[in-house]
Amino acid sequence: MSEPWTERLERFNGALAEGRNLGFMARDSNLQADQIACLRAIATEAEALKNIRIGAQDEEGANVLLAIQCLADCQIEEMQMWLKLKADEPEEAWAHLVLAQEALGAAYRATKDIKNLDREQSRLLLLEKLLFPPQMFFSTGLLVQGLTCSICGEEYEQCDHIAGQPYWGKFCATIPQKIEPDHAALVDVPADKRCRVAFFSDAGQKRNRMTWALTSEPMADRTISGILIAATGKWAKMVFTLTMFQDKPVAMLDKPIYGGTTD
Amino acid sequence: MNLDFASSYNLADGPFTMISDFVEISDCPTMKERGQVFHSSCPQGIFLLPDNFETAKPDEALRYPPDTPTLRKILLTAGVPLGEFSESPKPTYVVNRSAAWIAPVLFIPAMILISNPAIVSIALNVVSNYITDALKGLSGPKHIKFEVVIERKGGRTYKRIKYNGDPEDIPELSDLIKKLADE
Repeated sequence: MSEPWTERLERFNGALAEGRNLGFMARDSNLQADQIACLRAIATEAEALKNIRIGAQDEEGANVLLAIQCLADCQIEEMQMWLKLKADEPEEAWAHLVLAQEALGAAYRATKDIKNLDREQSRLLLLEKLLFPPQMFFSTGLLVQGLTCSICGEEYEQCDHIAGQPYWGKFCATIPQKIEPDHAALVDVPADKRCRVAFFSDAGQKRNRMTWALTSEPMADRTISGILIAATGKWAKMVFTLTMFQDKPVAMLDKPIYGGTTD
Repeated sequence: MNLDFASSYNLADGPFTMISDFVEISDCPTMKERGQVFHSSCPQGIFLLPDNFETAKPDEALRYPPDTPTLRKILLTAGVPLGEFSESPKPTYVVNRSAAWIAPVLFIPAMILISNPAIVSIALNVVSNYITDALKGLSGPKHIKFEVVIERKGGRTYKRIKYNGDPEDIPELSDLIKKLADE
């Protein structure tokens, strides 16, 4: 007989609790890597279960499973952050932390049935402040024409879906049909914290703003460089992929995981 | 927080008034010429204005904040009548990748304030709930920028309210809007 619904949910909760237990710098890296594999299995299982809930006409059940996927993703990203920090790769660690925060934000939207997310959100924000130095962020202005709905494929203006809301275990997102970069600005609070100043000039040399290491590369006085555009994570309300910018006047595609750089 | 914007507003303050840390009022003379456009399609509807409504030339693309189509859907679902600003087939959206939430400017024609003033409160509540929900789960400040342009009942003069604060307090603007419209 298949495992009852409530017992499955309890098993998922148990795995997520174990993830919280391993969410520390001091924890063993092998255990953290194992936890990532465990959480990925949970996310895959939740995806399969969603189809069963949909077959049973249970939209709320499907959305609860979507929230579990978001929470599993949040912990996967956090575990990766710890592993990258221990591997002395703080820039990659930063990107994982930002994606963990995004996945947690998506869990809020997936269902109202999940509790204690505020505490988790505060913890991730605290990690950001304690583990990483203050950052300077870029905000890129984009001109977008034509929006397609990710749920029904129709023009977003014409359909009944609402971007960011869950429908039968999937979030509605808008997909731009045409994008033109318009401007860039330095901001205190960006939409995507992966878009940040990566280097600045220091006495003619290039200094890494995250690690503070001085590279041997020359850099013109009073210049900065960094990541202007990042492909959106999988829980975004509006979807950008790097291919959307390939023929655009934005220097990029330097780092395939989360965008590119420009001077 | 319970704010009373309306009682702190004083007509003698002139065309530009900062009535609190959250609310700023000014005249909006450009609406006089632009107003012709709005009155043609749905005089009893509220309008979601493009960012460049004061400057756009007839052949220029109208630029909207990206949440405009979503807000349009939920306002219509709540029974708020909406007017069409333009016949433009495909609007352009300006997506600023900053966390500041920028709402489209709401234009409230005098006709609405005379014939169906309750709609204004409903619209403000819808906007407030939508933004509050949209900001849940996001890190960073929860303040937003929101603008309303009002056509006053006495004739073709217009006032602009700039709000910069907590989205949950947006419905408190309702009394101020009615007071400004009656002047």
